[in-house]
Amino acid sequence: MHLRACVQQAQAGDATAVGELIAHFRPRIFRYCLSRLGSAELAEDMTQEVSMALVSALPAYEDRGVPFAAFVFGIASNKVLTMRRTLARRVEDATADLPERVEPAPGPAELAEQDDSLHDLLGQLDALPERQRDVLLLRVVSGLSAEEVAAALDLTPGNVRVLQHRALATLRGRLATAPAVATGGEAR
Amino acid sequence: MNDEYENVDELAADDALLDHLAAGGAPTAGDDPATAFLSRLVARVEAVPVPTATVRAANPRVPAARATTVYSCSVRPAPVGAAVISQAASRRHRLFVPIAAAAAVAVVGTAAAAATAGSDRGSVLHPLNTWIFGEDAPRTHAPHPGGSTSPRPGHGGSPSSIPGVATGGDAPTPGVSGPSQGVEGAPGLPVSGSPSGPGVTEVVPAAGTSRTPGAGSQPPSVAAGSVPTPSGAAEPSHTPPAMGPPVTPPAGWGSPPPGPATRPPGRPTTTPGNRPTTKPAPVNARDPSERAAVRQTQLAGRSRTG
Repeated sequence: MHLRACVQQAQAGDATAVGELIAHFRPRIFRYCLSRLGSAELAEDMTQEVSMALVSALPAYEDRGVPFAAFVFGIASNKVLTMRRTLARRVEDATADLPERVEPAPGPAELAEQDDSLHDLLGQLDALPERQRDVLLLRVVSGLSAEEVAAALDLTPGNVRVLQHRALATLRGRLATAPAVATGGEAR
Repeated sequence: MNDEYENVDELAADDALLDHLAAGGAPTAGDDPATAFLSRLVARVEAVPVPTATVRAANPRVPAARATTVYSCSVRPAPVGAAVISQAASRRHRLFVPIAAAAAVAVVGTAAAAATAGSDRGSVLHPLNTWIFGEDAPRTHAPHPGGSTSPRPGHGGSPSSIPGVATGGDAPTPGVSGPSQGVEGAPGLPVSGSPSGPGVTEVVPAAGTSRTPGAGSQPPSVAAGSVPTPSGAAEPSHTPPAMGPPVTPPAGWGSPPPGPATRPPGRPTTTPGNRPTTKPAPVNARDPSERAAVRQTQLAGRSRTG
């Protein structure tokens, strides 16, 4: 089903269309949340929350030329920002409970290794201001265009291009001193 | 934003680069480190499996009137063999349920197996406002993360309408004590006072404490104005407190001069040993006979000191 038609049907209360919308955006929302929060558990919870907020906000959406993806990721960006602020105040660190039986999925060791790797990569973005980081991840992880990012974050496309340019410049400066991170070599 | 200070060509180049990466393009040899880094980051993020369970759950055994809406929640194993269904939105409302009860969650969807409580993880997304797992349980005192090690009452949780399901209790967390494992919902100590508990503190003034000159008797103290409630909490009474037996002021200073038997309105102090600081009410506020008595007292005092 075409996305626009799907949105219209979902707004009309079609449960199937709502389900299709969620199924369509859920992976992208999850990856965006993962890249912003750095934890699969948190990202999963946040994906649920964004999905619910999306469903709740559907009736308020008006198609005025703004891509629906911008509407979705505008919600996601706000939710993640709120969560990051909450996490900054919280002392506990959520960890997953690992099962004790054989799973075809990656085991704890693999998961830990992947987490470390992801943490290392995301750690390079810590030097960026919140807005630049958000713009960069929306562009490359969520796959939004500069115009969509601008609509999601209530910026102009020009602002978005400036922010992403500055973010890349900062990254280049950092990676020049730690090239192993960029190439995947041993950085530690 | 200082758009005009940026090199337009560089902006366009970076924009094209990010478009290329967003479209899944691979970095080419000779690309700058940032390109390689972002490409690696995207690949790494996409390697994390996306939870695919988008299912609906409903528990018909929970009466709708008592249920609370749990719009979305995650099903995870708890360390003691129970599943944790936590409401993602707030993380405040957690239900700890035994596996058997959690398995009773009716799961409809493509990833049903992953979302049942027997599996290690799964998600239950319910966007359509149906009552699902949970009830409007009274808020228990959740342990503070990393909180004190002193025992705290009330961690046990409350009984649920689901047989064998307890709400409220939290999983054992290092540094947080509590009698419950979080699963069985062991009844904790009452949080607020119980009917038999000391809900009301009655303070009886000790002899020798503040005594207003001229007061022949004094009603029982402040807390006697409270009445016990079934919950054990003290509530201010709307009826005047019963008058206590007259308390004879101690000998020594403050032998009551002749005056009315009732204490004049004023603000008593309870600091023992201090000179009474009760400020008498304005003379005009009293009745004529009392006013005359006070006047006489004042005159007598002046004549003594003068």
